[in-house]
Amino acid sequence: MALKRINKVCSRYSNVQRNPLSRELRTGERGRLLTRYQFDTLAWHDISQELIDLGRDPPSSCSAGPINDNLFQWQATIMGPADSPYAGGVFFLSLTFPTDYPFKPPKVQFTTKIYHPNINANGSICLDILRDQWSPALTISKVLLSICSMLTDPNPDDPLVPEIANTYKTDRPRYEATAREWTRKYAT
Amino acid sequence: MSSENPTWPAHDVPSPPAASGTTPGGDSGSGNAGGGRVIDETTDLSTLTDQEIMKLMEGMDHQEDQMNKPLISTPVPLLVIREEYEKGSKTILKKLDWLQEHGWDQVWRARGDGDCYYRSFTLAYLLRILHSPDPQLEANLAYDAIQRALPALQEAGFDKDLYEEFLDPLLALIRSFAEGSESTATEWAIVQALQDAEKSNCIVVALRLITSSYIRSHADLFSPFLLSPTTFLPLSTDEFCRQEVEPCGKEADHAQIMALSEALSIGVRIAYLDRSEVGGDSSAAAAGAEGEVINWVEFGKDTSEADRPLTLLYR
Repeated sequence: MALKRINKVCSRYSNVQRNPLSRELRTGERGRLLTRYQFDTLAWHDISQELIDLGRDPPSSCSAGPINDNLFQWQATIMGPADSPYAGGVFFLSLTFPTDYPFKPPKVQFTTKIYHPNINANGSICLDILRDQWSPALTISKVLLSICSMLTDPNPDDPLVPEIANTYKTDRPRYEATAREWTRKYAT
Repeated sequence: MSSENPTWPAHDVPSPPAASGTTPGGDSGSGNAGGGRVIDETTDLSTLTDQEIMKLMEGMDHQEDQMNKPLISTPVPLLVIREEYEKGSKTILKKLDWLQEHGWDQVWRARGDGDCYYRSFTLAYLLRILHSPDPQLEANLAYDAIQRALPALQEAGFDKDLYEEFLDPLLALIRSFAEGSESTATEWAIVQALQDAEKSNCIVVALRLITSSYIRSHADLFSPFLLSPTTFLPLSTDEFCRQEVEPCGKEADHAQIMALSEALSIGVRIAYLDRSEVGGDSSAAAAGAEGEVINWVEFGKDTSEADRPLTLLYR
């Protein structure tokens, strides 16, 4: 199910087309990957079907796809929302799917440094839907959109970095200036 | 099995941990969080850093002894449950003895992982079809009932591709009952499907989405009763569904149980195996003499014996 579902999500992103793995899938190089992931032919059939359906419904401000031939390890990018101090930045994230995905949430981390009350220096994100409020009915595009809206509207009452949350609450202009500065330095 | 259906699934839930001093995952070896200090029952919770809390919450997924139990057991005699209470409450023993005398002599146990209600419901729902006088008819009725619940899922904004995939294992079982296949329309087939983590979890998610979309589409009915189980503060319908219904591992309470039984038009009665003295519960009146010993909590339109409600045990 994990692989099938990941591909279902995969199929929604146009950049998957440029990914070497999907080329492999479409050219029918099945044997090697089959033994690698031990998936049955039925699931494989579904995956191939899904990959034909590329580029449907990709969110405009985000993209995501597997990094290499490991379908469980993805990279995503988020454009800093225009109405936030992150505007103009392109932020990279790593997504790791557990083998029991979608019953367990993907692990999502920023790999680009970002100044935000809910994201720490390791790139860990404090977001309810990535933890106890994960639902198997959520998709990666919903997760990425939630992260986008978190960039616009930080949640200083449930901070991961209390100092930034404090600045956000007490000195908004300084928070915005620092966030803009970091965006310019690390995300452009 | 006789037509009285003397076996029943247990909604086999361990009692929640005491409110104070219990650290999630505290004794599970995952306590070594953050900067290497050991976090256990004696740790002052207010000193936990956010990173430590995050680590601990990740550890909650792996509470070992629970995870070693099967998702649903094969039936065990009720006497096995009784043994666990031998040194305990007399009231509970009295209730167990009453159940035994009235033909409820077996239980299926569900792993107490927060999804136990949905798994127990599935087991009881499918057994009810299997042991009905006309299983093929009953299976078709169940199939239709599920189909009728689906438009609400789409209205609630769930992705059709996704929920159909979650529903598939349940519908496959019901279809095989409708076809009357001798090899698959068996108790063993049900237990096998519910013990298979992927199929079982798919069914749990499907039922959670049916429950959620029923609550969402009947918000006026449910909203006064939607509270956070931890803070007891009111939640909006959307918050409640996102936090307490749709994620796996979140216990079903009254609202969820009622929504699911209404959505699938099936009566559910739950025997609460607690220490309370019996007979004082108003809902017991409907159950007549039974109410004198067992506190049944009933959901759905028809929980009379004739309509063969799903019967679950909560402890």
